[in-house]
Amino acid sequence: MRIGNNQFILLIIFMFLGLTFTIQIRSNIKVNMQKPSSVQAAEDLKRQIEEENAEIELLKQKIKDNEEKNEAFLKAAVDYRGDEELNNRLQILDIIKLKAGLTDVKGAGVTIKLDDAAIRVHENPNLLIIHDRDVISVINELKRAGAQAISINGERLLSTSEQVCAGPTIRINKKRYATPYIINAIGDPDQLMEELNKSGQIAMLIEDNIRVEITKMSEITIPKYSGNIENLITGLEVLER
Amino acid sequence: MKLHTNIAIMAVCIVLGIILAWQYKSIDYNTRAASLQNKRVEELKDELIRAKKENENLAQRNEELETRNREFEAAKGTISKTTELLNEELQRARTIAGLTDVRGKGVVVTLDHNEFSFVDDLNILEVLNELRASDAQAISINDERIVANSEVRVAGRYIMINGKQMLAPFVIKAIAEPQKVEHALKMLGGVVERLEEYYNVQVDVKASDFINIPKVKDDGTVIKTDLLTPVK
Repeated sequence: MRIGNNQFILLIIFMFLGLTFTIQIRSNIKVNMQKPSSVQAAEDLKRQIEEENAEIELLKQKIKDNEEKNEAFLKAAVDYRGDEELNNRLQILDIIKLKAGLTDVKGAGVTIKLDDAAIRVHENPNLLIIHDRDVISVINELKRAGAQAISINGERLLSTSEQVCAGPTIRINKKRYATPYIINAIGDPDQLMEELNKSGQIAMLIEDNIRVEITKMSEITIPKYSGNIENLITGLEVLER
Repeated sequence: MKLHTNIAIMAVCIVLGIILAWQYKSIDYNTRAASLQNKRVEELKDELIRAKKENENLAQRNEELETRNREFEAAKGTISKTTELLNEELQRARTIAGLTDVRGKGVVVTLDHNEFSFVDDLNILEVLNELRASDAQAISINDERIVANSEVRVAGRYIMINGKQMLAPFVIKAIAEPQKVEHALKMLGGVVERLEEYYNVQVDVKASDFINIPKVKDDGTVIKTDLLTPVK
């Protein structure tokens, strides 16, 4: 039996059709199988994240209470002794803590809000986001203008505070924050504004459509450093005279 | 009759073509939907890891505070114990403020220029940031202790740090885990490579077991707090 040309073509066409249907069905089955399992995984993870967050809130509250107790105890212990020497030392401790960034402070200053470009105005996506050097540069300018306390998204900057950008987030004091970045600085507001207005780096950011909002503030509160104090000095051997 | 057959085949081919196009779109959609699901799961995993890390840090801090509180409670009785604890608190605060000379293991990073280049403030700041990201606990540049509000300022040919004028070479000392810092600085695309390739700055990194870093001047010229009001 000879297969005619037409029938041969039809054979090919139907083979193809069969192949097509098979691929389609397999693809659908695969997606449907993945759906429930990854939805399940997502649900699971969400629940775990919520648990962790609840724990975090609890710990934050405990820490706040313990910090208050800490200061109260120290004061009580010193008061109890009624010793002038100790009282002096306690007052000195307060001053040193102020210098170290271990105290909540308030004062006049500026607040800067940095946000990634709102729309894709550039071909190069790299120009649309805020980089390490942008943040570092702005912070340096604030210091040049005499800023006495600086925080980024509520993180107090110490001499050891890193500012590492990765995509739309920044890592400061080991914690990650998403844009917008809110930089608060206490200092002479006019001096700070003047320095920021002359800033070449900020001009470049604005040119790249990074959103920059700078506001003079008559009072800002900047919190103390909230991380592990011990971790800051574990590798240091203090050389005292 | 041949024409009929040909038209029939043509019709079937057209339908086949449509089906193929439709199928391609469908599979493309399915694959993207699946990968979006996976991406969501990956993002959640990252978020969970971050939350756990923060939890761990907070628990440590809490533990630290509770230990101190227990010590204080025990100290209410003796003047010597109270003095001891107070002195400990003082030294810790002074160290964090940069008011003590310190020593430890770390690295020395020397930045210098050649005849055609110039070490500028951003170069120095990038190195500082990398050191901090690698958990440096104390840093000095040409023996000036870097504190929270230390600025790096270009002033003519000089770089001014803590109000002091400096010229290259800039010897940056940091107390940190030597291998960690060296690795971070020298990695591909890292600070050393960038400074050498794009800015023609010579960078030398040396690990050391004995890095001495001096305290910052405490005469009010570097650390200033007159505009700060403590919040009670």
